Amino acid sequence: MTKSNSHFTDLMITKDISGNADFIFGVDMDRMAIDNSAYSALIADMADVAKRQIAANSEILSFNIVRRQVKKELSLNSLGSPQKPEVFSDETISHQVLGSVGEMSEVPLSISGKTSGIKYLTASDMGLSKQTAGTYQYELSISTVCGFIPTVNKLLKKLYRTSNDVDDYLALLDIPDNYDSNKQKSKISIRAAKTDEMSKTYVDAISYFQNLKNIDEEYKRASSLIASRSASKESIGIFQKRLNTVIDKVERLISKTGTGATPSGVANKPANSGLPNASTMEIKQSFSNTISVENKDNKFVDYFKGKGKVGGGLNVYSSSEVRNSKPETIYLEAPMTSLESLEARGVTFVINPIVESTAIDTSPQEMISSKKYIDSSATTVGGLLSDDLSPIDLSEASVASLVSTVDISAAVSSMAPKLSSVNSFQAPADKITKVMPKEITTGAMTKEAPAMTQPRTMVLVASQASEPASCSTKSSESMLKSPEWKPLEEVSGEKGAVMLCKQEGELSDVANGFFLMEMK
Amino acid sequence: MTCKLSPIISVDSVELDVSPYVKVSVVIKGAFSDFLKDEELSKYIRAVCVLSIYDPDSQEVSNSVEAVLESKAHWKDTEWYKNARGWDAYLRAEKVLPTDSAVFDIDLSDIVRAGEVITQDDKVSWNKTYLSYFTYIQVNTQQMAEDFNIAIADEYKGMAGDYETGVIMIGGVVVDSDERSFNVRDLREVVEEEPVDGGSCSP
Repeated sequence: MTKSNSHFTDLMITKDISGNADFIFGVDMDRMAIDNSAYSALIADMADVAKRQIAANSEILSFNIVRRQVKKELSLNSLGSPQKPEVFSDETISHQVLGSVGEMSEVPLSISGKTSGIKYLTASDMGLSKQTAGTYQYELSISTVCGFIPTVNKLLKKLYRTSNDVDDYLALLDIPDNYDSNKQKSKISIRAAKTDEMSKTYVDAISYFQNLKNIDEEYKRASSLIASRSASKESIGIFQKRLNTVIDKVERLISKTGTGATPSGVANKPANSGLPNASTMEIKQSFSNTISVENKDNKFVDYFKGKGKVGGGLNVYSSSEVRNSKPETIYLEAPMTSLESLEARGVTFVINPIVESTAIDTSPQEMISSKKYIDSSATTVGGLLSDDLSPIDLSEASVASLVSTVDISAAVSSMAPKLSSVNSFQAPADKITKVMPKEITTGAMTKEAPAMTQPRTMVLVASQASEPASCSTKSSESMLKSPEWKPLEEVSGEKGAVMLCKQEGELSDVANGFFLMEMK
Repeated sequence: MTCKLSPIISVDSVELDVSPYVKVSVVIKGAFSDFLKDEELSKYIRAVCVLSIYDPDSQEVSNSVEAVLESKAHWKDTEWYKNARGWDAYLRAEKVLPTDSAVFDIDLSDIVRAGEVITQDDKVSWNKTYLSYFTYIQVNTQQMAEDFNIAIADEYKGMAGDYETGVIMIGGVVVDSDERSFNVRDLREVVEEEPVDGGSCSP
């Protein structure tokens, strides 16, 4: 069985200073194991304790994270509207990034001081920095053995054993002269440890079907019926009757599975022993977030220069390091001017100073009369691509002979904002000057676009509107999407709490854009 | 004149039934206990057990049961728990012949509700109630005076011995065994977690 599901948070992915990918995602393992079980309908009626136990007994057979290059392709939905711009294409090859869950580190993430039941896992893709270009997407595949049958079998075995113990207990009280009916005391009884174990088994079984208010109180309550110092034959009888009711409930549950697992069949079979009917499930999760190998403008912003590690998942910084962090722009290469950017795209300009007195080469092959193309006769002769148009290699053309530098300046200026690598461009009347940025190597980041959102550090916190919640198998999506990002200044946390942060509002790429903050 | 009866009724075990019903098993201790077995006299003597669901921390009633018994109000009014101001909503009692293995069966159903569903009478839930006991030996002196044709003052109409008291449970939870001298058999059904809007629990 393969199912897609919504038991995962988004993949939060960033690059470290070496270009490796560090990522983190949250997964509700318990709910995923339950919702994807073949017996999810039966499990839905069970109590939270049972759901947790079933999840705990679900065994991970395989765990894989792969990376695949994606390309921007416009895919259309059934209504013809564009949907995801980046899609896996068949020709891309998957590269395994992680081969077992043990290669991921669990982060004890605190979201507003609450534990939501979501397990946050982080790791690094050390292979990304070896890629020369492209945008990549990650996919997770998990294969697990459903824990339902092992859990129920284990429970039933314990109940049967307790039932036998109760029979023995009552038989003990039936020994002549052992039990005083008036005082409700027996001379020979069984150990308190045994009655405690029996009552625990009973209450644990009950807790699989009812969410108990206080399980410790229930242990005591059940124990009061059978503990030798307080028990009467009648109270032991009541315990036995209640125990049988639970056994009946579990037996009926097994019969509903249709697996052929029978009470007699499970009684002598150890739990988790390769049950023939144990179902496996395959879960695939393609994370929609992608990461590009190339850095925008060949630079990135580093808020923690000289701090942090390479590999091993998201970096961890102390809260004081985070609050005192300063952005520094790191240039991977000297930034290109507008013309260099154009040259990088295959357009060559040869700049000749305009000298009005310079004689223009008027050789016949280069003299082009435009008259017939632009005057009133143009319509009759054809357009500019008329066959008799003399060929001109524009890449080698003397630009100055065609247009003035003023025109070039105007043309390039209009293009400049659209060119991602353009830093600045100035074109005086008689020459073009490259203006280098003020800080070529490193230095405090300047405001590149004051009109844009101010760069700031955001912290993942629980949404006030939606509490995380329940073990209900219905509302997993809302629970996973309930956290929200809040500015660092608005967030406080207990000492030792680990919080997930991100840098927001930068126009450039940010190294370690997602990171963990430990409250000091 | 101070008259004091020596026997004390000690609670041996308490059985909390599913419905708001309590079975209290007692033993009678003291030199006077043999005297209680005298058939002629025993018809005038009763063992009394009063169960109280009044939580002293609630301070809903200005007085306490202890204060009532200390003031010997029960000497003048042997059924004080029925008549005393406001106590009827909190107390139920039973009188039995004092024997070696006396058992009090006390029904609390008219002051405690079995389930969690709140009804119009708004009784306290059996799973949340406070429960304590008061036991003492009482002599029906008035009846004795009539039978033997002797005069007796009103304040001695129901002479009683020292009382014994103990807390059985607080907020529906039986007190720890370390803090009580009697056994408890709790036959009540399991108590489920109260449903919360939007879900049940987090794993």
